[in-house]
Amino acid sequence: MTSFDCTDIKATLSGLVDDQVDAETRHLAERHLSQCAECRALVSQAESLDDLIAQDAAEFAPKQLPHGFMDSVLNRTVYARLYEQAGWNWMTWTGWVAAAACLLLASAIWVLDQQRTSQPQPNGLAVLPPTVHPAPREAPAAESRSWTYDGTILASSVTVDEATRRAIDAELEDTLPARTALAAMAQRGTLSIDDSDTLHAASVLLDMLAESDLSDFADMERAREIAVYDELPQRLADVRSRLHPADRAAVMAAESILLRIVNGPLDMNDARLLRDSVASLNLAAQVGAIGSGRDVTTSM
Amino acid sequence: MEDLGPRLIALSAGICRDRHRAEEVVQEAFVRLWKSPPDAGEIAWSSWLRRVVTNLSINTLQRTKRPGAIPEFSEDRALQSREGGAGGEQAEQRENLERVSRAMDRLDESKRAILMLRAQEQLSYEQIAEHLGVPVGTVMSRLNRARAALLDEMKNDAVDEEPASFEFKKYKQA
Repeated sequence: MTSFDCTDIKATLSGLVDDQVDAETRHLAERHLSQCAECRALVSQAESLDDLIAQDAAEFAPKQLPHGFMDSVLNRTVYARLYEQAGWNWMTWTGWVAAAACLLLASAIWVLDQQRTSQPQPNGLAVLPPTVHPAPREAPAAESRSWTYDGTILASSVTVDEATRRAIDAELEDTLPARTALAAMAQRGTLSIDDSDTLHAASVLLDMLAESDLSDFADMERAREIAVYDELPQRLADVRSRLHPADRAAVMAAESILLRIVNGPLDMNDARLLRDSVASLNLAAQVGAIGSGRDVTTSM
Repeated sequence: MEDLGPRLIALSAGICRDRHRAEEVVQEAFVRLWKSPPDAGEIAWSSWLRRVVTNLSINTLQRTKRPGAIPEFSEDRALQSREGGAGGEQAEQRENLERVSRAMDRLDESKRAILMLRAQEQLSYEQIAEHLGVPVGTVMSRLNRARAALLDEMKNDAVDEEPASFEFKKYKQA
């Protein structure tokens, strides 16, 4: 080839732009370009193409990874592998089946239980669940109605007649004080020996106060010395926090009187007032009874 | 991934002319890298990814058989140009960029791919040849055809614009 024309320039355009032609081809091309303005313009335009293409792509390329891109890739790769290794899919499938089976079983048991308890028996009583202990009472099927005990006996649907219900109500009413006393005794039964000793000591001292001779302050002074020595006000306060609420008032009254005596000062009128209060409230007996666990009728 | 990702998205977007599709392509490439990474020493991961992204970008367009490229890039750029209102050399540069963008939109994906590998990725002919699995001479001829086609499209674009500007002048004179 001894000369280049416009067609040759177009055929070697990329080579010329990217300097991928040999020296002879470049020489021939440059000779043609020096004479052809159109081809010069074409080559010049081609030389600027790469920059424009790069700018075109770069302007619409993200500066950083789009939001959620990394998560999406990780979900499809690392996490998917971890789930697979952990047998997650299998666990999920069997987990659902197990849950459904448990639900079905529980439903079946509940339905059967409902059917069994609601079915009338020959003696007119429904069959109670095994954990319930009410004594079945004989009652005619007629006039029977659903009735719920007061919670002492946990039967949900005991069917009894009106007469039986009244009998049970009467029995409950009769035994109410006894049950209350038993509950109180049970509460008092939680007292320790030390607590009982404290209450007993306070009772003795209060009894002494109630019987004190107030011609002088000798008895009162002696009571103060005992209370201080035995630390009775503090010990009573400690015991009081563990007492049944119904017993706390008496102990608090005793505690206040002893504190008044310990802290002083007292004149004769104060002393008489304290002595009379102890006597009128029967505080010695009350505190003693609380300490021994006996039931007493409080007068407060 | 954070360094390579945006660059690969740019490459794919240049071929697909659709950024969202480009993101999907690059995601798929990373997933393939995780599932079946190239053998050590065979090829660098970045090169492997670039090849996968290029092929996926071309394939995804061919598979969907879109009638023509989505002129998303060129339309966006034209909008930016109108809003920017730059003057002088900057305006001319912007106009050239718009013309290239519109011309790229109209090229087929194979030509866009080789142009992107050369212009945006700045690969040598040898690298492109290795990338595409073809001889260097084939790369040169393909690249030449792609550039010629792009220049033709830009020329056609300029011709298409002339009547509009002429009509506008006539209208203004009237």
